[in-house]
Amino acid sequence: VKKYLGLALGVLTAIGGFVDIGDLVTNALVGSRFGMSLAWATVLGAVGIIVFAEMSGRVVAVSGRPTFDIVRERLGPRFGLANLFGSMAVTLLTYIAEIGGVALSLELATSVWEYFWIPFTAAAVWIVLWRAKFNFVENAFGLLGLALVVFSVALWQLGPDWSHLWDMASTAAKPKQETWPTYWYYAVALFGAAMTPYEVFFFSSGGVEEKWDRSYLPIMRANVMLGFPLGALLSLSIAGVATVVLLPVGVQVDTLGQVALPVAVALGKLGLAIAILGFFAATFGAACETGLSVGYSVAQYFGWQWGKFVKPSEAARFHAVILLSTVLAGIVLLTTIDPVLVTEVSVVFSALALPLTYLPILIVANDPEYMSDNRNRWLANSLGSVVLIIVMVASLAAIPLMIWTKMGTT
Amino acid sequence: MRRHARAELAAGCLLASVLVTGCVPATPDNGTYKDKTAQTLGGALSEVSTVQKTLESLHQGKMFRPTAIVQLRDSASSLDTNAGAFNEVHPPPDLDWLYKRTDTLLTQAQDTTNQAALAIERRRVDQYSKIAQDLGKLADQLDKLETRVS
Repeated sequence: VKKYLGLALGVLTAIGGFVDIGDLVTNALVGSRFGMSLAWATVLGAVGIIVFAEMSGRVVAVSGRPTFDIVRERLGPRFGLANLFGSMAVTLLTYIAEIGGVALSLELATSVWEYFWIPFTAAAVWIVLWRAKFNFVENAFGLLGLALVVFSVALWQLGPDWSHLWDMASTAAKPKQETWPTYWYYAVALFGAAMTPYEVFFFSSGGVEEKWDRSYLPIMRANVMLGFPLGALLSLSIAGVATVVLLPVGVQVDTLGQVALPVAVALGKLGLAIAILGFFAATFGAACETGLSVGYSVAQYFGWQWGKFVKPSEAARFHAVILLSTVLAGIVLLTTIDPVLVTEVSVVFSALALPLTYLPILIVANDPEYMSDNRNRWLANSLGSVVLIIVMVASLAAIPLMIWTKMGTT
Repeated sequence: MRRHARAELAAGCLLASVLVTGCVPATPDNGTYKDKTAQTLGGALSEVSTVQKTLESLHQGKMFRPTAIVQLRDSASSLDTNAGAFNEVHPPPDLDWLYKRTDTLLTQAQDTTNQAALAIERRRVDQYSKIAQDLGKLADQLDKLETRVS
């Protein structure tokens, strides 16, 4: 029974933890401008993260070491450094966006200006990362993040024309008033939001924190293959409610309040309260995950003691990196930069950095020295290669499309 | 030495002219101006519709007052930024009518949003319905003009 409860908990936290500020904003924005015509990009991103999360989870369960520790050893310090700079820069940007997202959620609940909340939010995230146990960080916010299921309930309650939504999703045609470069820009953004590099940093290092071994492989696979697709359904629901409520009246989402508006229209105050709770949990949980991921990647590259499985005094440099990142995030947000803008930039830069994160995983997962009989089979390699080609294309297209479309405004 | 000073003067003039021309409002061609106006109208329509939906939800008891206050604050700020950016570009002579019409609609959007914010702040529930109707009409006008310009 304990095993099944653990499995259920893992799946539930995977669903609740799938959506972060990038998914919230990007899916609602895309739904309000393109309807469901970009649903394929979310599905593609979900398939990509499932393939690579399973690979990195398998690497951890078999070798007992986090993926990026092996990357540095297997591919050398130079490649490791490129990997560190590229992926960590995006993770830090995402960390800033998540802390900003928590402040925005608190602002929505209280009407007190977001900038007031930033120092408290940053301090709260740091205290949780310093004091709380790893399982608490992973499970508490993952479970609370399930509050975002309210978007699926709202979509059902709105009673949309399901065949029309399916037509939009299956034909993938852009609305008349939008341009093709903008369409592709948001496809890349959705893909980047679903495959954010920190997800695999956190997943693989979390495996070491939880002392995974080969016996954990089925549970890990169940978490990934059930939890992530259901999490992707949440993303599609966010786009769905925006399609039904916001697209017909010309609302183009650029605030978190607009993301919540369809839920209020469909379910009233109770639904809105649950949505704001979901925003808070999803962004706070993701802030903890990205904060830890920054610490993990730096400490693992330099070979320092890291992790929540040892006392903070034994991993002082790991915690110092987290503290410095948190202070930096707070300072950046207090410049009055718009957290939603930071989010939009972070998902596009995430797409840019994807090859640096995912190519090494594919290489390590094929290495018999580390993986012995658990190395990739033909299916994992085929899917991994196809996803990696798409990752490369998205990475090459991200910045030109960003400039061409003026960040999707044309 | 004098040659060196002349070169410095020329470089200084060049830099000054670049800076001055950069600060002068641009006058684009008709097509570019229409694109810019359509973008401005689209942004304004988005905020006006958001405020309308927010106010209607508040009136029907579906929205928390603090959440509505935040959304209206954001929408008002976005409308101000949008109007400011629009006024930075001068219209070509034969599109003066478009400038005047857009400017009028933007001003109405800003005023009505401020009215809505004030009504929520002062809990004037009796005004919500009338302001929401005004916002609806304004949204129609913005939508029609945007369609005509696009």
